[in-house]
Amino acid sequence: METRIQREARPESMLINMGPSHPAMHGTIRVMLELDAERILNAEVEVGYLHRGFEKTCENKTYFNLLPYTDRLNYVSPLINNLGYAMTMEKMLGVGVP
Amino acid sequence: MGKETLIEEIRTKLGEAVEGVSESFGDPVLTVRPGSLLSIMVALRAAPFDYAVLLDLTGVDFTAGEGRFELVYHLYSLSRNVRLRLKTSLPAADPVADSITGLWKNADWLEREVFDMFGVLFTGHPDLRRLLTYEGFEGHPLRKAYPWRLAQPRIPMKDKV
Repeated sequence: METRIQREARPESMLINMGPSHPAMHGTIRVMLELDAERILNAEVEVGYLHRGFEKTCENKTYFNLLPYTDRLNYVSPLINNLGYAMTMEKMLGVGVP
Repeated sequence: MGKETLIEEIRTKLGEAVEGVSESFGDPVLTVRPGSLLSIMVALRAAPFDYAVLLDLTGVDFTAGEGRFELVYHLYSLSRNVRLRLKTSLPAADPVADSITGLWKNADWLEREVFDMFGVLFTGHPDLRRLLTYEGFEGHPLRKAYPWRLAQPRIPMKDKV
């Protein structure tokens, strides 16, 4: 199964795979690089390793029950995700906040 | 042209291509037919509307109740600081829409995600394949017909160790 970068790579460059599990990345993402020594000539990205089926899971929960799921959307910003979700719900339901 | 005059300008400029204009919690919403989607997007990208940014493109599955898929586009104009929401309804049996990758580059991955999750085909897309699911995944997860927990078939290992 040839990827786009394998088809388009120049013969003198080097193809390196920054695999999904890599200490330099914030999370799992696969970047296939075409290198000329240390300069990156081309890159192809493959995502989806962190896809947790969040939207589908929340379809099966109540409005209040899925509040912990919004916490865990992003590990560095749980409170702002909670706030975004709560404000959206308040806007849609017309609920006033004391 | 600010938020107040937006609706009037859209009505006069785009006219009959727009199916309906409504308000949703303070945000203007345009409902369009899928056939005229591309021409409306071209008009909205150009001056005077100048919607330079496509913020989001998602889908909603209404097949159970109303028998249609709905595509929702969010546009944003940097020069005028106004947002716009566009909705199109696609038939549930064969959801096909025009690709807008020619207008906004980020539509590439957004349309790949909608294709992956709902199975909506985008004509004119340069490379329409799955984005978030893995190679060998079967089905379109965010469809209502797809159960929440479903055992996927086992994928053979790529290289035998």
